[in-house]
Amino acid sequence: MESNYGITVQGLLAAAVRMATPLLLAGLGGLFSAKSGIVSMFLEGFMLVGAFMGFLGSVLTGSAYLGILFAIAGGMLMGLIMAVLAVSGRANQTILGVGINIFALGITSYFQSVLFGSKRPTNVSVFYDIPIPGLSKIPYIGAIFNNSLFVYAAFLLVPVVWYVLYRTPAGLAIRAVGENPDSVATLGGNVIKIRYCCLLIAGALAGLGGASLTIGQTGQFMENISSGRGYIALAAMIFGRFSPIGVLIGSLLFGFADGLQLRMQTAGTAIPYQLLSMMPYVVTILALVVFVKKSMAPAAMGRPYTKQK
Amino acid sequence: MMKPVINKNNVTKHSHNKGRIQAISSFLAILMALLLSGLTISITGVNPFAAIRVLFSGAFGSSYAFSETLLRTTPILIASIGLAISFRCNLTSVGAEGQMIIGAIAATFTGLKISLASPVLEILVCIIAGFLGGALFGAIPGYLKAKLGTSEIIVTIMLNYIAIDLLSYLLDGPMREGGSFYPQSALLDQSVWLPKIIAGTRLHAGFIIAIVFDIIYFFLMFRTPLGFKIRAVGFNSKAAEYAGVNVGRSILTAMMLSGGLAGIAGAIEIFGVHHRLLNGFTAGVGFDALAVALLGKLNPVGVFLASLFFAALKVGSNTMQHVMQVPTSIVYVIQGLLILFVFTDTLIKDKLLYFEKRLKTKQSGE
Amino acid sequence: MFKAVGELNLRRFFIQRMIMGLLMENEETTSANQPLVEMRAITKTFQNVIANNCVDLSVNRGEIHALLGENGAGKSTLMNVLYGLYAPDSGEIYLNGEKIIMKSPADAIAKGIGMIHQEFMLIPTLSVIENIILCMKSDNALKLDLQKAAKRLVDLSSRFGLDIDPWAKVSQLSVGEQQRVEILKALYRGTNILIMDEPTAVLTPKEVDDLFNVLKEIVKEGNSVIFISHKLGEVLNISDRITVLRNGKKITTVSSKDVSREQLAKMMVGREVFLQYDRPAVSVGKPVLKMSDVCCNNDRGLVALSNISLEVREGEIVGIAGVDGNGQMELAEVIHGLRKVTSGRIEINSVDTTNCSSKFAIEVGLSHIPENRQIRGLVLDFSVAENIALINCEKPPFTKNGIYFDPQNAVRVAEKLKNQYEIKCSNVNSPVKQLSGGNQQKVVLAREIYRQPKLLIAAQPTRGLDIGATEYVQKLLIEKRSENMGILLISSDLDEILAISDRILVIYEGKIMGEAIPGKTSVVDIGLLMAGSKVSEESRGKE
Repeated sequence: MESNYGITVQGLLAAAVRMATPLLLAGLGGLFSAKSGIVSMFLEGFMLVGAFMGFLGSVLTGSAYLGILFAIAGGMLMGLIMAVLAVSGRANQTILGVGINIFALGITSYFQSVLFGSKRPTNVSVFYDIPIPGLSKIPYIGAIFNNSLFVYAAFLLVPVVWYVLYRTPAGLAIRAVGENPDSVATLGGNVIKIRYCCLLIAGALAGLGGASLTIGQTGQFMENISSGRGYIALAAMIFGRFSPIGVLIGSLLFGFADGLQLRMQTAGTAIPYQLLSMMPYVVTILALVVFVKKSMAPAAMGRPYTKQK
Repeated sequence: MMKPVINKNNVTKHSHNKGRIQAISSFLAILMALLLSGLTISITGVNPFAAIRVLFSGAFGSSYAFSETLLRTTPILIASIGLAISFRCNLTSVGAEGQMIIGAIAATFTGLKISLASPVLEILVCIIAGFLGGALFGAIPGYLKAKLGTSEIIVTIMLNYIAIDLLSYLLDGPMREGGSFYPQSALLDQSVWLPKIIAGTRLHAGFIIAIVFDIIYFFLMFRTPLGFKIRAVGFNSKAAEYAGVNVGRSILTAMMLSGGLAGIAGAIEIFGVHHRLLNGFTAGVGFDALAVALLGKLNPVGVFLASLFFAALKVGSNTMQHVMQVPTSIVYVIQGLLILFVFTDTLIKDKLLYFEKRLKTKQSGE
Repeated sequence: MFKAVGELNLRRFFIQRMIMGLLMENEETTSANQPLVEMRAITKTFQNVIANNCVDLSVNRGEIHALLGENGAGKSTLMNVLYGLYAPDSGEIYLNGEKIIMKSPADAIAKGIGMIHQEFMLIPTLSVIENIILCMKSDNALKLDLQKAAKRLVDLSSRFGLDIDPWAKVSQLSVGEQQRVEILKALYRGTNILIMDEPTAVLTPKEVDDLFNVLKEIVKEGNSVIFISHKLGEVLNISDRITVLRNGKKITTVSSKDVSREQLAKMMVGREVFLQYDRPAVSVGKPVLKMSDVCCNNDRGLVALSNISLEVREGEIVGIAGVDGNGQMELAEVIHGLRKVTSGRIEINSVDTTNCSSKFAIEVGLSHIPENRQIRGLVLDFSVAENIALINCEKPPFTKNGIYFDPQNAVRVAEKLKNQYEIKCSNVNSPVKQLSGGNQQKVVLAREIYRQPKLLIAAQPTRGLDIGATEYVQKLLIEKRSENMGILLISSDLDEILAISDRILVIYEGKIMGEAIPGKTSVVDIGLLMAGSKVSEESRGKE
């Protein structure tokens, strides 16, 4: 599974990048919905569904690439459900998110037991590491350029997401909806449509993030494989002040913590492994406490939008 | 043009709706959840009606089954009362699971160490220890929220994972039963075991304690100034502040009460059922409590009924797994769906109003 | 889309039409002096309230038309219908003689109708130019061309005398500047019918003059402006014609040259209105509030109050005059203990309350009627009785022995207050959100005065209330003054301040600019102080 670099700077950087990827993908997805004013509590559930669907797709079709399509479709379906309940239903977005997460846990575990409980599929098609010629030979950071397509895609998406949000008319409308949807409505914008679209994008990206955990790595799905990563992605987004760069930095930070604790476990230290595996969660709390002084959340986030008529 | 934005959370808003509408929406939510779960089950080739029948017989079919259901109700009820308190303060705490664990650790540690003359006193002290453990753990997100506005959702979720890891560590080492192969604590002395209230079953006095706490919850929320302040802060913390209420203190108190109750739930699970500390003893009760608090609309009676329902689901789903090979994860599916549907009452009300209006304009138009 | 009709052609056209009109009875030919906009028999009901009852309105090309009425008369509703925000229950709208149906503001904007609401619809975190082109159809979906738009904006702004920096972030602009952005936003989209809802509420007297000059420029090009207001003076000053609404019905339309203030007031209210009160002489007692050199910051960390020193004594009403946003809110907050001071000292009833808690200030004898009653004053989801019990809920009469809170105690007190203050509600257990604005304010008043405070802060106490409720509140404050209460009245309504204050302190950018005595100091001087100018030494108070 993971090449044994030992605890070296090289190894830690490589691990940070790899562990950050699912967080980054989910965080970027969450950014779209958050910027449009929807609380992105559902990332954990979206990731789980994406992880399972990616795995399922790869098993069924034998191709990891088609698995990605399954993951994206599954994520978008979840996004649609959230949109119907949160945007059209105007229910409490935070609790809906928690509900979606519990539902996703249940449904993925359920189908995992039913379909693969008795016999685990082997030799599931996954994404292998693809070294980038030249760059992967650079000392110290070369290992970063020897990763799967998921990793490259995640990092390349950062400038893309930035451009879409800050340099296109659609992105401007999205940012406006998150601050003051009534303003956008009076100018003729369709708040409902914008939020639906953002949730579909969030579903696609978060689903992709989940898939990176299965067909991007081991080719196996385990119950609750995301283990709270969706919440950590949410924390990365808050910590990153709801900007693409911030999400990147946050994801790298938490990915680093995760990578560090795993390396320490495999390298064998005196510290009990449970205390090590606590680390990413402790780091998340500390990051929120130390760095988030004032909320930079979009002003209208969490408030259900009612059309005036 | 006034745009009053006070409580973004329409959970607490429900408490002033007519009780009937609330009950109807909860029933509808249960119906929809069961329907869709049934659909899921039938996709995998199992007869959903048969499955549901097995579920209910597993939960209520015999007096022993019923006692098991009441047994399962106990921790869920106590933990969900705790969550209801935090929800009423507009705090979305998901931390019952972790607080239960810390409470259980504190209570078990105390139980193994102390030795008092009266067993009743011993149990009381241990339960108080459980309360304190959970309360302190709940004070962390409470304090961070009150002082810094940190998201209590994320903090409580992170603390859940931390608590699970902590328990595992303690049972591996410091609290491990001497010479045992299993990660578990030493067995508690029989004198501190919670007495059984129905012979031949596992049902213990914790159930009575849970009911008592439900009644206390009502009094606390609606007959004490503390409860009044917590509710005021939950609805509109700004107006409460202007009225002289110490908002930060209310938030901290609500979270500590919430954590403390979850801690008691954890302690009671150990002292009544397992009699020693084990990994995974919570069995997802923390998440059950979340769904129960919402389904029960934070209402003392509602929460009791919802706890009963969920306990039945848990107990019955075990039977369902044995008999029909339906995986127990179906319970999470039902839970999740319940949470998703429980808020549809605004949607339903709107649709009803819309149809009423259409009818009226049709009648007056012609 | 700004029609440039040559003046000569227009005159010739008018003469022709006049002759034709004399010869023929038929009025249906379209012509240039037909109203630009006509609303016929508009009716709009919300639940049980008839907001507009068969209202007609016609606005001509190139005119400034005022829509006058008191709070709740239906002016905003009517304009929201014209702007496509609301669909009328019945009635029709004609634009240039053609009937139009609008399903949303987007339709209205497409037809050249633009509206600027009282609460600006700007996005504070975005720049001016981003706000202006938001949701406009773009040639290139993949690229936002801000540079090109900014250039066009600058051209437009210089044409009408509306200076603005396209790249400034809206949150950093003053209120007057933000209003300019709103106007530009409408003009940029080709608006030729501009609706403005109470635009002068947030402006200093000088900014009001600037605005009127801009409006005159705008109508010179053949555009029309509909100006919603409840201020008689301004309406007479700026408008060509005035339509008066009262209780949802149209009373009349008159030319502003042909009508007097008193006549308008009578039409607006339906009875003689004085809003002048008998203020019996009261001997002023010891200070109930003393502020010495108080400084504090606002939420953004900028200075909100700068060396404020003032006194309020028993039996006097001190009015704080000033345009919204000059530190009034922070002033009320520091006295109440809701905001920390960075320096200075505050004493309530001779007790040091600098940086105390909200609770402590209340216990020392403070009552506060906050602005924004629905957010700061009331818990809307609580009943009337519960709102009454909100303060000191842990003390008698609400909690007798410190532990047991009997809701019946609150109900009893609430019943008493309901009768005393004539609060209209079905019963004291109904949620306070069902009450009208005036009755909600009465609940707040009742609760605050019930405690017999020594110092009462009344912040914008009559905002959003109709004339009846306004009169009630103002009379009540004068009554309490006679009972030796010290009242600090904070209001952006200068008429109110002039009507009931004993002394006026003008606040501007967090500083007290000067003291004025109603009747002795001229309104012009007060206006100058409000706008930040210094006045001659005579008018300057010592504190």
